[in-house]
Amino acid sequence: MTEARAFVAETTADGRLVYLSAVARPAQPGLEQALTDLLHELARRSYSELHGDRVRFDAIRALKSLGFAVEDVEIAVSYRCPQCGASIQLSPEAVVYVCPYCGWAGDVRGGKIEVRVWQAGHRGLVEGFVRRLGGEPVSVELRYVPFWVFEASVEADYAATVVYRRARTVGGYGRQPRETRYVRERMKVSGRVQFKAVRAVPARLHVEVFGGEELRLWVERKWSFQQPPALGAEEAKPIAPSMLAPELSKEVATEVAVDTLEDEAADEARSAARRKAPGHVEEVRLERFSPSVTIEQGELAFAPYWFFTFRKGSGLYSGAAVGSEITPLRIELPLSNAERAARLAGSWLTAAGSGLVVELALRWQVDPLVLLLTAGLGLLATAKLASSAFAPAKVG
Amino acid sequence: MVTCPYCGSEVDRQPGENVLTCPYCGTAFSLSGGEVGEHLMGRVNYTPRQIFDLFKIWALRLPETPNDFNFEARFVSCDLTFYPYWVYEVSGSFRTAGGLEVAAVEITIPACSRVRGTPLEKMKLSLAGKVYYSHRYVVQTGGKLAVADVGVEAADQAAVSAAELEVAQRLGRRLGRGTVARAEKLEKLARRLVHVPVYSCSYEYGDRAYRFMADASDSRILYAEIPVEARFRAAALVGAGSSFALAAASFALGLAYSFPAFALLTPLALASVGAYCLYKASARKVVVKEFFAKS
Repeated sequence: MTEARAFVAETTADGRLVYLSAVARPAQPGLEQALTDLLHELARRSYSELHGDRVRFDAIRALKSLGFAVEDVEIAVSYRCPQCGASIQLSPEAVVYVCPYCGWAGDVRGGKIEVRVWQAGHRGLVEGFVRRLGGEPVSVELRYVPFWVFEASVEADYAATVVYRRARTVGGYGRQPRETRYVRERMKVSGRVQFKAVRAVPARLHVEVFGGEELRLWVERKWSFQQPPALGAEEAKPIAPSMLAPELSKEVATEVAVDTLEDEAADEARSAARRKAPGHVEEVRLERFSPSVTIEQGELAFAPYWFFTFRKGSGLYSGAAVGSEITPLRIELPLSNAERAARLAGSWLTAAGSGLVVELALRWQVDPLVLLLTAGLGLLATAKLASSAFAPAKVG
Repeated sequence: MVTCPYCGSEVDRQPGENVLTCPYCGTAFSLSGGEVGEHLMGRVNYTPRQIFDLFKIWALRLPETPNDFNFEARFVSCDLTFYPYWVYEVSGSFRTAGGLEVAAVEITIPACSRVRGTPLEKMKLSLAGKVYYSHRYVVQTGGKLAVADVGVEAADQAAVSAAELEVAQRLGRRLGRGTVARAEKLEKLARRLVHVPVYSCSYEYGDRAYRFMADASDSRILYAEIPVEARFRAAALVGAGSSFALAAASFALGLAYSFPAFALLTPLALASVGAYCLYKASARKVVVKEFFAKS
């Protein structure tokens, strides 16, 4: 044997349950025991540190100081399921996982987490849906996308300055005719807004799913009237390979949820301030804004997300749907050459039409501002139609 | 040669390099010999083949892409480069028009000036999932390191400015546009050097070669060159010709009937449509600099 091996089950300095293994070359008497002791020592470092060159360098230095003439040491780290003891390989981004061997669900520190999953329906339904679109399915893939779902109550005190325009009647004395003038006024308002909200935060660092925003909104809506059931270990096991590992911890997701809810509270405060003005509001400036968000419940829920590609004509298109009812999220539909030509012709007609309207407006001596506005709108509509003729596909 | 402050090894300095990486212990250090902070890296979670398959599906969403692209595009080669970025955790009080605001932000500053003007310049990194740097891993994955030539002082300054901008933008969402924030008292300015793996791939379609770049950790397409189908170019050319012909006709019509506004506006709009079609027809390849997640 030319190398010494060691293998230990440990908990790292940042509390992660891991297996650490090491190989040292060349083999020497007593090296395996020294290597085992060393791995227990190295486990006092963080999970992140265990991947670096520095830990390897320190290991070689420590073994040399014990009198071993080692040339090389390799250290590997994997997660350890706290229930069945299986060695789990995850990307370093993962913070929660479902063990594919025993169905245990929890975080990388061994804390059990209740996982809720909505039912997925079956593949045949997706294929049937694609055929109803007139396409032939090429690939259908099911992934369970993780979300942290929070129920929260939000309150915010605010003070704002509202700038508004108000109609004021002037004149009417003697021969002077009465006329309506618009004057700009400002007023200070203050108050409190409060509301309850459900906020879903994708538990992945990059939501690399097609129709990701639509999926998030679906989760929020669905949670409000049908919360998914908590999954037992036996139920989780068969779907574990299709579950995307959450990469955002509950703490980080909570910060994201609070941040977006505070933004929403600011919008609510602006709307409330706007409603208090007696005229047409031009601007609302928040001068004081003190939000308070109380998270009442936070759960991890997996949405069954179908991504499919299909062939229609000579093109390949993609789509995404969710849930047992195969609710479409985002689907690309082919844009035929005839449709493209029609859009281009539409831009020509708009160009001609706007030219004619401006010509007539000029003859009828319409306000120059209206004239310029019409010309601008015409050019804009022409450009929009022309660029839509080269759009990738219809997305619905 | 510069001596590593952690393991004492002699490390070769590349031309222009301001922050060196020790290939033995992974320590990142400046020319003056001081460690620059934790040295982290993103891991490679996708193979070049997986990236190429994802890229082909993504490319098909563009109308210019030939319909047989999925079957005819041939993978040629792929280089893996680990690009250095400074990632800061900045927290403290920021002075705004409404008073002092306590905020914490994460800031990414490229540590390699070569990425300026490329899609890599705008990358925003998170520290989640980043692990300690391993040069052995870089070698095992066949990657190479881009030279880190943006020094610590320049990066620190840029980080504070970027943090002020970030806080101003964040507050601007609530308090309105034009919000300005100035760092008043920084409690934390934690600096880390993070190497991010990026694939730069080439492929062939027909008799031409094209390129694309993708993040090897999360598969985002960062830059792509895609061939334009000949039929698409011909159709765009017909569209351009028709638009210019209609522009000329409408100009003549306007003059003949003494419609000056019509003679000015309509040909102008039609000629613009023609120019746009011509632009589409003239491009042999379309270049996209967009993140996969946003498409």
